[in-house]
Amino acid sequence: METSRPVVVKRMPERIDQREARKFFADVQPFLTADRPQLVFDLSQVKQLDAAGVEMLMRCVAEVMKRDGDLKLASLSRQSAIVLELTRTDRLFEIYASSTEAARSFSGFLPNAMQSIPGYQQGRPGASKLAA
Amino acid sequence: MDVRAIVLTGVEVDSNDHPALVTGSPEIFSGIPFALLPVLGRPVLHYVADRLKSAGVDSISVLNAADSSLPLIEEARRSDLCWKDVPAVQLWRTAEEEFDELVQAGAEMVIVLRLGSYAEVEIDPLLQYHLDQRNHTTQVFAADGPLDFFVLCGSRRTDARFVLRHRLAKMRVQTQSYQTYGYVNRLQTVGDLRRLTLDSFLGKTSIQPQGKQIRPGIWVAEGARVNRHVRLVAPCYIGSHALVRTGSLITRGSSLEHHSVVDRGTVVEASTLLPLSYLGAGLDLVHSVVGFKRMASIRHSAQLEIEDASLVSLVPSTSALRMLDHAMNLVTFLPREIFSSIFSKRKLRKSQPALERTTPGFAGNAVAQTVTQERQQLTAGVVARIRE
Repeated sequence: METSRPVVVKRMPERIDQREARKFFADVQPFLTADRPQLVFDLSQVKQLDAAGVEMLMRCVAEVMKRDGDLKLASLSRQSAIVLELTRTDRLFEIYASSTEAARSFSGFLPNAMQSIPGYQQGRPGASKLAA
Repeated sequence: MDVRAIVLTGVEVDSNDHPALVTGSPEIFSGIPFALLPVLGRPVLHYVADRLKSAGVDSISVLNAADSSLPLIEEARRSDLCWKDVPAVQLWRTAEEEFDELVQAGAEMVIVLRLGSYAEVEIDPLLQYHLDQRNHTTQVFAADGPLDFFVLCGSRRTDARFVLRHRLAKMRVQTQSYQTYGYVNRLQTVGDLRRLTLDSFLGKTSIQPQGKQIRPGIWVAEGARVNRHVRLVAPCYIGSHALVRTGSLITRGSSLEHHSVVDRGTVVEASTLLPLSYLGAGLDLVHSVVGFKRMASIRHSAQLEIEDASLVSLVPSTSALRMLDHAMNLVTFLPREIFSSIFSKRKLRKSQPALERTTPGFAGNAVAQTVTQERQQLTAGVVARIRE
């Protein structure tokens, strides 16, 4: 399961509104249109993420899927994690604790590096996240 | 040393022992013991049998007390297993007879286990411990209590019979038990079944998904058909001859077992779709196990029969029937569409799956938002049908 293709790690800006989302999309578009693109978006700096930002992530996923690539998320800030969960878009992505691990995950499955599957606790799958 | 094994499956468990269980009877789903249900491509029983074989156990007798006419029982049989279907009331008597037969055939030690729990017990150290302690019978204990897993001496028939007569609950002479540090899953609830799948994905068990890893953490078995507009998020497993239609999302440790079908725009999240199950279009299956027209929700701790074939149904079990089914669908497609457009135009538009209204291919927005609205309507429909 080795890959020689490059993995592009891109840090997302602190605030992603419509204008920033458009700008960010324009920035990453050359990578999205590559053959079988492998991208990691680092969301550690994201303080504000609105619907336009989520929409932009969806567009990025659609683009990489068209080209048989993948897009993974890493280092989610609390704010971005909440918005992704609210819009139920978090389940569309593999989410890793750090961008290094996310990049490594393109070469091999790293189950321990993946952020816990929501609702999964040792011995209690499906247990409510709120209760945890 | 001649070591043989007796594996008991489909043994009825007293539900009074598990008062907290609200997701159906313990250790069974739709009448089928968990031990005979597939996890990541193979029945749990096969993983246990392979483990015993690799430890040098010469022969394995399976005494099955579950109804042999139930689906999936047939596929759990294997040529290298000595399989016997036994009425539940005669199971323990038959186990005694089987023990005697194995001893007569030369067995010096017999491992008896009930599935039940999935336990990765270290067989070699267990047998060595049994010999070192000079036990007549040795029971295996996990961190949370005893397991229905025994080593019986071939030369101590009285002790062995006592254990079997008391349904693995008592020993004639109390001996030192063996503590296992391997993986143990009690497999009492559907939640445990899901946990076994997730633990296997996460490498906590020795279970390996039966298929090719097409991308890190994504396994697809032979003959599976996945539309190119489907999003698979690791870890997930697509079983042999499974079909995943356009716009679907399979994510967070989901497992689609063999010949299962996921229709257009459906989300399968942290769930298991059992073999020969069809999941309708535009649904959102979360933390559940679905199969044989039955659904168990782990989050809601509830189990229900689903009669509506547009939500959940059974895929024909033989390839000839499946072909006939496809042919029927093809022939009736046009008349059905014409009929629907004339007589139920408004209704059809409402019940269309979300992704039919969008451009073809995977659309994250539809999965993330529109389908959620659709799900609420469907859930209300399900409740109404159950009430009826």
